[in-house]
Amino acid sequence: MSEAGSRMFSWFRLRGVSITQEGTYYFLVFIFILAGAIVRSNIQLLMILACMLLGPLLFNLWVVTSSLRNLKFSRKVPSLLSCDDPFFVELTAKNTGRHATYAVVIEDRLIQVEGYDPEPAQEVDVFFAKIGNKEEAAISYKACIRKRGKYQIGPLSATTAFPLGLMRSKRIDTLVTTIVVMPRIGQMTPAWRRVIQQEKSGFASSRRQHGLLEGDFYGLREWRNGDPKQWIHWRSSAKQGELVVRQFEKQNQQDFVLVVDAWLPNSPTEEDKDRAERIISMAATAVRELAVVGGCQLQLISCGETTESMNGNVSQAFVVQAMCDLAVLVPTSHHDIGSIMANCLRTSRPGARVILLTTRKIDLSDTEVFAAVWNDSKLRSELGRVKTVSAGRGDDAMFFHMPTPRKAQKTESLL
Amino acid sequence: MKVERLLQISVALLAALGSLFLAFGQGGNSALPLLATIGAFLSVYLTDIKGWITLNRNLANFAALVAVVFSFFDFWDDGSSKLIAIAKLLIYLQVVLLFQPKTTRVYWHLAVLSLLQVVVAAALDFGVTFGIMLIPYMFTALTTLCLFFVYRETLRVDPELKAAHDAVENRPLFSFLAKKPVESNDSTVVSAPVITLSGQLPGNLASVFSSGKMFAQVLKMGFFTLCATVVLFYSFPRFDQGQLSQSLGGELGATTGFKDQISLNDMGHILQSDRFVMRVRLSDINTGTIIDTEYEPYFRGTSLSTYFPNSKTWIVGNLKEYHVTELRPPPLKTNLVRQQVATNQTINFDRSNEGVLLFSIYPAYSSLNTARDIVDNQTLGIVSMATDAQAQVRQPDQYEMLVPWNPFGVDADLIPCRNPVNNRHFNHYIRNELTQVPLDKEFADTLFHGLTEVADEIVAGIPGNGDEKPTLFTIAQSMERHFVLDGNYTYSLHVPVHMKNTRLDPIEDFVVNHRTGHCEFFASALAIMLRTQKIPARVVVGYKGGEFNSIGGYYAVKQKHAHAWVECFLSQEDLPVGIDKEDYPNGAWLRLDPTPASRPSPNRKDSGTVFDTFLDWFDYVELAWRDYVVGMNSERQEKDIYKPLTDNLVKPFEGWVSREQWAKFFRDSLASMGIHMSDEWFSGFASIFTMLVLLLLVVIFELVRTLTRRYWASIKRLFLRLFPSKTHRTGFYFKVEKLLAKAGWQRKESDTPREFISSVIADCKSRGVGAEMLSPLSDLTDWYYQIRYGGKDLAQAQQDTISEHLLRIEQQTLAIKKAKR
Repeated sequence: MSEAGSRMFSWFRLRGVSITQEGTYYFLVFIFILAGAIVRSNIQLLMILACMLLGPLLFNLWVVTSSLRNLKFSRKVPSLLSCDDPFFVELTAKNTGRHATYAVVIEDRLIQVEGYDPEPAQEVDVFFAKIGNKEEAAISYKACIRKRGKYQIGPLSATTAFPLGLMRSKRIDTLVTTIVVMPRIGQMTPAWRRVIQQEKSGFASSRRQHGLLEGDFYGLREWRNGDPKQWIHWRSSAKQGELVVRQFEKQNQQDFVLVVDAWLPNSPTEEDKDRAERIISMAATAVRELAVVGGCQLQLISCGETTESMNGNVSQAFVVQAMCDLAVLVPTSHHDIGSIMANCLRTSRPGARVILLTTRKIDLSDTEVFAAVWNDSKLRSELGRVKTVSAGRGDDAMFFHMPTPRKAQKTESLL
Repeated sequence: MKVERLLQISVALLAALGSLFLAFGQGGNSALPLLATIGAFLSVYLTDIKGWITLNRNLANFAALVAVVFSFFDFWDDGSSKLIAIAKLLIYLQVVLLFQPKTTRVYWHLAVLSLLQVVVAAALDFGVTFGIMLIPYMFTALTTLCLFFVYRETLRVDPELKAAHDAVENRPLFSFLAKKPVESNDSTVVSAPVITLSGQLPGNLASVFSSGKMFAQVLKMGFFTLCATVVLFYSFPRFDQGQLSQSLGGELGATTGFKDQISLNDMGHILQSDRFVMRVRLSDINTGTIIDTEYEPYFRGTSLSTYFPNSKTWIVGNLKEYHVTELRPPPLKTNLVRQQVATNQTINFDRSNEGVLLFSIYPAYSSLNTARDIVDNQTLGIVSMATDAQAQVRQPDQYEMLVPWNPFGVDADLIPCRNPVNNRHFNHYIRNELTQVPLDKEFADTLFHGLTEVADEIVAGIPGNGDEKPTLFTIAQSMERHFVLDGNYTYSLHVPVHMKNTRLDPIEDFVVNHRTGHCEFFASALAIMLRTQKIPARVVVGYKGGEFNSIGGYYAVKQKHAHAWVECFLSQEDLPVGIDKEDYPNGAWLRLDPTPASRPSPNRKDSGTVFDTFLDWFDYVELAWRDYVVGMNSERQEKDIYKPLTDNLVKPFEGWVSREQWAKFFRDSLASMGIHMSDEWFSGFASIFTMLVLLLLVVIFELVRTLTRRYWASIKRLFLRLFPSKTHRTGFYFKVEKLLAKAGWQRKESDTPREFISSVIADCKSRGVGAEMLSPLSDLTDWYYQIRYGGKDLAQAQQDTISEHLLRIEQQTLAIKKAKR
């Protein structure tokens, strides 16, 4: 006997109700006894038995037909996740009907909808023992995704064969939730930080320093313990009768353009793929670190199967959007990095530092790849603000350290 | 308690009940099923809880094979033994399975085996105990199925449980066939799958499925099942027993009723049988009160006149002429009661010369409800249902007569002779046939020498009144007392072989030698003794008494109540003093019952205890079971179920299908409106014409409906092309939402229209459905945004396309909806 009867072909199916494998065997036994009762018509007890066997089958059909009608499902899941981080998907079922529903199995599926080399769908079953009438029941299952990308959970199918498992009713709910799994986050090395600090340029570099009074004057506020004396605005304090200090917006603004060139040769090896993943991870880590430091204007250009560009102050919202873009970045051999760089130099703020993270074994001196830049005399003069980090040459190791992916132990329960 | 443990207990209980069914079915040979029942309970503790005995799968398979071989030899016996052999095999297999570690396969096999045991028991036992046991069996089976289902679902959800279960289930047959684990250097680390999902069981699993509510669910289910069983059982049409069952399966358990002869060598097992023959209700004619008395009524069958010493058999005898009349109304002076008899239709009553023999207190008279075809053979004192000699007719399932009721009067044992005494044949019957000691006198003297001596002694021992000879009545009573009161004779169904003298006639042997026997010996001996004294006597067979059921108010007459007694003829002159001889113009038959244990005795002491009431109820239920379950053949079903149903449900509406009534209705209705139509309009041809027109209309309607359904989209498209809708505001978007909602996509309140449409598109892509509506969807959303938020008007081309887009979306959503179903 198989416990996965519902997933098998059923010879009887009507409005989402099918007969299970066990139900089929049961039905055959019923037919056997009924045939016996007909042949041996003088043994009426066989007829009693046959009729007694039909009752549960009909009851099961009746119950499963009405069980799922009044169920509503919802799913709670974090929308942004890191690779390798286990998380829980919480499913809630609300029963709006008048009767309790028992033994509902939810078949939920998780499928990668966007990203490199999409994974096939995985399915999981969770079991609601009881959903009381006018009540909610929640149950969660554990999930862990080890690859960046955009994933979709759902649509889910709810099935029940309660109470006897002879007939099964199935209802598909189009409830779909999308989650984004960020590239694996590593650590930027001090060398990278030095590059960021030293390479203050462009708009930020032209700002005058004000010692402790950094940034633009923003407003006044009451004095708080620990504020430096220099910040006290004596005139206003005199007017208001209490100490008032000047407030400054932090203006340690730097301009960066981060170009992620996720390139793969036509027939990529595992090493090539790893390299592409490394530079995407490096870009993601760099964006996150910049967000921690703050005060930075960043343009992120991700070049893959599609080229996405986003520009703005590095804030939490920026990081989320950047992670989404990087998560679904598909490395390819088709994109023209030369034109992208030319376009980038053309549109970026003058003086903004451009960092090219590439998987190729090249640098800017390659006039063939960067022909679009070298052929334009104006852009050629801008090449000085471009810093190339080539993973093909192993430059990335100097700036970025990526932790080794977590290995699963044999004892870990795998589905 | 864990669900699995509950399941183990429930399955063991189911197996035990299955075995108990067989134990009841097999009667005396119930040791093995009872052992299996005990084994089922032991297996829960020894195998499931403690794990002390767990049969290896190889060992279990081997044991099952041995069981099959062992049972194989029993199959060669007759039908009943075959069933018992199957029952034994089922028990062996069940025991083997019970002591195996339990997996879904084992649970399922145990449940099926248990059900098969019940099937076999159904063929072995027809009693009401089977029906009563079916109810707990049904509840246990439903509980087991319910728990088994929950167990399977938990296995499906919990990977650890599943792995543990599979480890037991997929254990190789022989250990050396097991694959050795692959050794590798990096044995502890494996590459992790990209996506890991692991379901878990809910914490309230055990509490939910072992709660009282679950018990209530099972009760509800059981109640439903019982109702469904009753409805289905009585409504499911039966095949005629003669047609299908005989051609396919042959006759099983054919029954015979009462025999119209006595064979003294061959002790009838019938005397011990608990098989129900008939129900007799005796009620007062005027008040209808049920007669409940300690007196055991004699239900007469037939009378036997001739004894063949060679075959040691009593038979009816060959008379040239019988006096047979219809059952007549009673004489005025008689004290009468109404006798209603319901017979067991699975027993075939024996045939008399006139037809089917009917058992009754004798003499019997007709009432208003008495069937006209009941005749009275007044010579032999037999009531029969007149049929052709060749007709295979069974006895009526019920009949009614009026019978005299004077159990304790002076004339209690006197039955008036209704055959005219001056009839030559009757005279010959009385004077020759009934006084003849078998065959010729000399032979009789040698054959019944001892018996004659005893008879003479009895007659000699009657205290005389001077020289006056004792009357026939006195002789008859003395002889009866000789058997009943003197204590010389013992009643027994079995005469030990060592006591028998096989050289003597059994009757002679009985009187002279062992003096032990049953009613047939006593009756035979008394009849012969009376004949030696020239007193006409015959042996009468029938039923005496019955178990009075206070709940149903009837005597349950079973085969064990079969009895034999003696009647001797007394002419009017020989009647005893104190009897009004005018009442007996043709003389009378004096009933003599020589069997000691069967003298008038209470059927049942009405002590009124709960146990007595229970027994009465049980008996009543058993009879109802036999009547309405075991005896529910096609004939009975037709009579008791279908006919009342059709009478009550169909007959009131018979007018609805009567053409004349409809014609009259229409004619009258039209006439009331002032339209008078000739009869030609209501002729048969006109009716056929009207029906054809109606049929045509129905066909046209169906055709139009089908075509409209199929081509509605095309028609709509054509219509839109011909009459295009010129202006579109934002309404089209809401149409889109409505269409999508029908296909199962509902916009959440938090979603913007664009987010919603994007999610629909993504869903369609992932599921690979509705490919053609993706671009219309995104176009329509863009245009909606342009109008709603951009404040722009759509170009004419876009306006024109909207309808087409909507149509395409409608088609696609419809297709998706259908595919879902």
